[in-house]
Amino acid sequence: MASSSTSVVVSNKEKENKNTKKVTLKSSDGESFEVDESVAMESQTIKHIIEDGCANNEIPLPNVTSGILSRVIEYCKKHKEAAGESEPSVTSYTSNSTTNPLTEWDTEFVKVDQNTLFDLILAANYLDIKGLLDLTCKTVADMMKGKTPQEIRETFHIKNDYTPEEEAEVRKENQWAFE
Amino acid sequence: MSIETGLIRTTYGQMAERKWSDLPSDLLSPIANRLGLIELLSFRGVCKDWKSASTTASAEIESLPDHEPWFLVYGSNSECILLSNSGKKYTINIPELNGATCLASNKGWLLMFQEGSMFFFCPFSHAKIDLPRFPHSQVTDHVAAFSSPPISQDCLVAVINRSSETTLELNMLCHGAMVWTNHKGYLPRDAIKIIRGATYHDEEFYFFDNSENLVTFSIDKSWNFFVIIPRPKDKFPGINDLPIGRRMRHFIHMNMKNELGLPENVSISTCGTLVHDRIDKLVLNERIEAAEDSISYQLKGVWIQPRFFQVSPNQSW
Repeated sequence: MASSSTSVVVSNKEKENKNTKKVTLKSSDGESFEVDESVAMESQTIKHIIEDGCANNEIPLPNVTSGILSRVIEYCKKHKEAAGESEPSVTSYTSNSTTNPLTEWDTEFVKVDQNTLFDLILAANYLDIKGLLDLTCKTVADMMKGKTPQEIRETFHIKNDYTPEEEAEVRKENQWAFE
Repeated sequence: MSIETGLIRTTYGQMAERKWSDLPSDLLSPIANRLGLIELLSFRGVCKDWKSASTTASAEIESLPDHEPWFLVYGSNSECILLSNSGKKYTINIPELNGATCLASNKGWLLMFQEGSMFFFCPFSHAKIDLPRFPHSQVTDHVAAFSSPPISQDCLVAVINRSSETTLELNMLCHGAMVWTNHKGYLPRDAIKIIRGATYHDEEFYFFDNSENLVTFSIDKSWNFFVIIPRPKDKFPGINDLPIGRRMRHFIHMNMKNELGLPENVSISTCGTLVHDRIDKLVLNERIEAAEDSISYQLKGVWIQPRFFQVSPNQSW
C-alpha cells in the first residue's frame, strides 16, 4: 500500500513538469503575468524568443501595456483550450460559426472601445498572433460597413488630405456607391 | 462618437486617445483586404494614406463561397444598373460596356467582346486587359470560359460556337499567346443544342446546354460528350460524377426582372457565372423575352462577383 502511494506521488510530479511549464510575461508598465508556456506560444514572437533560448525568467514586452496584455492572454488561453478540444479552426476572412466554435466568444471579446481595439491590433501584430490580428482587423473592417468616406473619417478621426483635384478623381471612382 | 470616446473610462486607465492616423500602413492593408466592394470604395476615399494602403485590396471577401453574385445590366448606352445580393440597386456609368457583349464572368472578371476585339474587364475598377484580336468579327451563339484570373500565368480562354449543323468550333487562347488556336469538334445539333453555360474544371472546359447535354474539351485537345442523368443507385462503368452543379433558371427564380424594376417590354440575355453553394454550381446563361405584342428593347446582363481589381496601366496579356 505504502509503495504504491509513493509511486503515485512521483508520477503526478512528472506530469506537472511536462504539462504545466510556465513562462512570465512582463508588460510595459511593469506588471508580470505568469502563463502556461503553450498558451504564450500562441504568439509567434514569444515562441521564437523561447525557442531561441532567450527566455530566462521573464520575457519583457515593452510595447504592450498590462491592460492589453491581460486581454491578449485571455484570448490565447481561450483559443488554446478550444484547439485542444477540437480540430484546429481555420481562420478566414469571415468566421463561420459552424467551423469556428469560438465565433460568439470572439464577437464578445472585441466589443471594446476604439482605443482598446487599436491597441489590440498593434499588440496582435507585434506579438504575431494571426487569429487575433484577423479578428481585430475584421472588426475594424465591419465598423466601416455602410459608411461614406466622410462618415469613416468621423468615426476614426482621420483628416481629409486630398487636394480638390484628387478629391474629384476619387469621387469619380466611388460616387455611384454613395448616391 | 468622438465626444463619447473621450468620456469612456476604460477599465485599465488608458486615457490618451489613439490616433488611427498613426496606424502603420502595414496594418491598414489587412483591414483593407477584409472589406467588401462598397466599403473598399469608401476606404479609398478617406485620405491619401488609406488609398495607398489599399493597392492590393480587391474585395476578395466577395468571392468567398456562399457569397451570392450581384447582377449588372448593361445595354446600348453607358448607364448600367447594378443589383447587389442584398437587393440594393445602384446606377453606374461604365462606358467600356457600351456596345460590348459579355461572353464569360468568373470571380469578378468579365470577358468582353466588341466588334472583333476581346478584353478582360473589371467594371468596378475599370481595369482592362486587351487580348489578341478574335477571329470572328461578330458573336452570335458564342459562349466562353476562362480557367483562372487573366493576370495569372496559366490563364486559358476558350470560346465556343456552332459553326455548322455538324460541328462546334472552339477558339482557345493561352496566357501570353498572340493568336487564338482553332479546334473543331463533330457534335451535331441534335446531340447538343444551344450552349448555355461554360466553365473550366480540372484541366477541362465544360459546355452545357439547358437540358441534359454536356460537351467537354480537355487541354490535351480531346472532345468528349456526355448526357447528364440523375445519380443511379448502383455504380455502372462509364458513369462519372458530375463535379459541377447547375442553376438553370436563376434569373427567373430570383424574380430578377421585378427586382431590377425592368418593364415588361424588355428582353434580356444574361451571362452566368460559377458560384459556390456547398459545391461549385454554374449559373447558366438565359434569354428572357419581352411580353408579347410589345415594342421591345434589348438589354444584356451578367452575374458578377463585385471585385475591385487594380492592374497597372501597362498590364498586358
